[in-house]
Amino acid sequence: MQIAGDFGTFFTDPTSPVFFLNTSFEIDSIKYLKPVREVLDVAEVDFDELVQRDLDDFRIRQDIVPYLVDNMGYKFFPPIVVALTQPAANRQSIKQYYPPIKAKLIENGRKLEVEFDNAFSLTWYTNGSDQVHSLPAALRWNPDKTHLMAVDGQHRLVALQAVRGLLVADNLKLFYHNVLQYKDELDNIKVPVTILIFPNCIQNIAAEDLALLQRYFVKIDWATTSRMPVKQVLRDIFVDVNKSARQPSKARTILLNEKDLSAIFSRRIFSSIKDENPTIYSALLEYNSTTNKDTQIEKGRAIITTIGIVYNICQFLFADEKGVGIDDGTTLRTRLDILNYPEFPSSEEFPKETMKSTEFSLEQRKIAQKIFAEKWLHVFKSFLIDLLPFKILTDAMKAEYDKYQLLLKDLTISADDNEIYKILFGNVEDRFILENNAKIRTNTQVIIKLRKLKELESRIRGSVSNHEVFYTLMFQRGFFEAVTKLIEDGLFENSYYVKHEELGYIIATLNLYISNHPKGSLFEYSNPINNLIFGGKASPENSNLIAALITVILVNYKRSSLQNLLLKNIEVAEGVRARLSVTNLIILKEKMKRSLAAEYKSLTANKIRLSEIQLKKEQDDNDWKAMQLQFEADMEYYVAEHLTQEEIKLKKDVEIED
Amino acid sequence: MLPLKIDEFQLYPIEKTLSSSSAIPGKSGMYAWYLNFSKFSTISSKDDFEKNIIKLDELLTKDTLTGSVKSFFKRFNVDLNEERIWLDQFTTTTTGKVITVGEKLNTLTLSQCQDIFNYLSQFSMLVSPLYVGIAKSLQTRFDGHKRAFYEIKKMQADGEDPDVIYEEAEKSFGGRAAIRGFNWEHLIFACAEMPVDRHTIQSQEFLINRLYSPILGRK
Repeated sequence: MQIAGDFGTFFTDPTSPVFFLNTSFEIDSIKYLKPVREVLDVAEVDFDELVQRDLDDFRIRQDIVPYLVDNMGYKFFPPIVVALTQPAANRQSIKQYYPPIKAKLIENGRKLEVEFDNAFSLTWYTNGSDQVHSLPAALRWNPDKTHLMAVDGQHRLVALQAVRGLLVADNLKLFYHNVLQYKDELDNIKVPVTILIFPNCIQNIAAEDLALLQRYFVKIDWATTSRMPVKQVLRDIFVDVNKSARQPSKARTILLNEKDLSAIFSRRIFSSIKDENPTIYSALLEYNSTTNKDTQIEKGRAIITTIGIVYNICQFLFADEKGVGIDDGTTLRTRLDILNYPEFPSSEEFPKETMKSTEFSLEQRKIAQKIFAEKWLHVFKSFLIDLLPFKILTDAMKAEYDKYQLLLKDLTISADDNEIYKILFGNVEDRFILENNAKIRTNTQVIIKLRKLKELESRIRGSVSNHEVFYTLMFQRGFFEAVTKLIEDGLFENSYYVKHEELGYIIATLNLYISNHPKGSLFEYSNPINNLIFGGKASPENSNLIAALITVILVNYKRSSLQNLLLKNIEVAEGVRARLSVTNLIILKEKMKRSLAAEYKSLTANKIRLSEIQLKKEQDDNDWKAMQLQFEADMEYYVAEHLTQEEIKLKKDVEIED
Repeated sequence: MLPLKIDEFQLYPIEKTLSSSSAIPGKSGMYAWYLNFSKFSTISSKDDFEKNIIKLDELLTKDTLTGSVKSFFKRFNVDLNEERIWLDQFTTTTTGKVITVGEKLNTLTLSQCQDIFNYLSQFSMLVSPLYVGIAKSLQTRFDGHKRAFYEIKKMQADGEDPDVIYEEAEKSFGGRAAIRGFNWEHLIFACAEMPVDRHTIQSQEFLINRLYSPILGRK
């Protein structure tokens, strides 16, 4: 394929040049422009590899197609921006670098040609004095080895492809079948396209080629010493072009953001969970929420966590501004011990003393990621893999996957069931398409498929029906609050992180408590004490109560029988243990007290009493004061009496010895 | 003689108070703030050593000049001294011999320079405290200083008028530390529980600061 256009250069930062070619494509030639999902197998792609993961097909069909085709023909759109990329052989990532290049002058020096192996090439006319003309410049590419992947405007692109009938996948054809009727309205138009090429992403360049190119492009550093991976430049471009566009969903922003360490760490965590569960991870992890409820797990879904929850925890750990209203990097520097790390990168522009999760150099990011991987990643992994409720759900999902594989092997699976399993274990976008196709009442088959998928997920989730609280931001963040508090209280060998085996004792002790309470644990909403503490629901602001509950269990449960692995293996001074127990018990009791007071006020008889007091007050009847005092005294008695009973039960449950 | 209670001082570096101050006693007592030298201890060259010293100098210097007039009738002979910890040269009072910093630095190897910060890291409490005080609740006082510190950092980040920031910063230790350029993790809170008379606490705290005049005390 070949196309000509107007050539130019811009920079995403001083060391990162980008070539662009402004051109236009005949309407049906836009089939050569690819949304990300056509270039990469997005279900298999590592979380850190992606530029643009998902597409909002609903938005395309609902908003963009009608805008395009309201009987006025093709309306104004800025160019679709595509990047010249090469997928790796397994389609799981973008190749880090472009292939080696050869540069030469041809046609008696009238043209300069740069060949990127046999994947693509660029040609310019020269002006005879070591300069190239910007117009026309030509790009040739081999579509088998190189893709023009959309960086901006992929929703526009899919809308145009849908209207012209250029989509390939069957489910997408069904989803968009209604828009084909507008095909003729887009006859004979051209679509503006900007093609991006990255000259400092080259795998290799020979000295003579380098010398030639430096003559013609004096501002471009073609040398591989300053090269950057393609995906890194792509991310920066994507974030830049989307700054003023429609706000991407929170989940998508986390998946894309290269300038926020909490987001970078979150992707690393998800990738490592994926590595542990390569076949079922897409069923266990939610990373594609198109709404902004990115920290909630949908009821009935067999999901262990979401990218939003993990990001929220990373922000607590590395960018906390709670109580002080500003993140100055103290938490990041302390939790990674940056100021004591030998030779941590520091420069005048990016001093390590002021580094924070949103301000860092590339070198600092690299080392910060390394420290995170060594000190903190294992905490997330052990928590999400080894804590009993997550382990049970993961095992149930694995069993379902094995069952699916057996059915496939025996060739006994129906086409519908096969598709349902494929959606469960495969591409998350397919699920979205299925859900939307099911909204059309006449699509009976699709509706049945979706129902079956939900039944299947609900059945798997049923394996942990008594552990609802674990699948909330409140619990998952609360766990990390408890762990960090124990670190701060000096329980562990190191002052700023917990070692793998130390964390293992925490998980083992919690697992012991959970497995000894198959029904009615303090983590169950049906437990009356849980109800008093959490009010029967999960609220993120109650994560401190989860932290208190976890700590009380950890420093008391099975202590005297020496089954508490944390206390058995870690030397904790009795004074510290007792303080942790008492202070956290007080936190729980204070909440229970407030709940009991609210409970008392909500009793019908007491509501009537309160109304009577209010009435007397409004009538200026002085009796109201005595009545109020009596009411408060009665309430205090009620609270004290019930609190004592519940406290006894709580202490018995977690084995607190007075 | 009353027994020395220095061994009752509990130390709270950032690693113990990062997410909350709940480990600090809620009761009354005496407290002091120290500089945490361990946050300056990674040195990979002598240049680093010197940079660290300069940074400490910026944080700790009083930024004041002291002077004296030697003769009023004959001619003005004003002797000015800058109160900085890091001066390029030092004159011994007895012999008048001048010792330059470069000279001393040349006699030390890199690892000996590193040792200086290693010693200081382990004995941060042996160096003068930045501030001393008495509080009805040590935990509440810690929280107050932290709040004041970040209030100033926030005002700076919001680009507020420097005069307004300075005025606000002077009100408490936390503010003064922030405006000097300290990081919160540079500080160690040390305290010991003691009974105090809540009615006279303010006056006592004022006088203790006057007696001792710590670097970040109220001027």
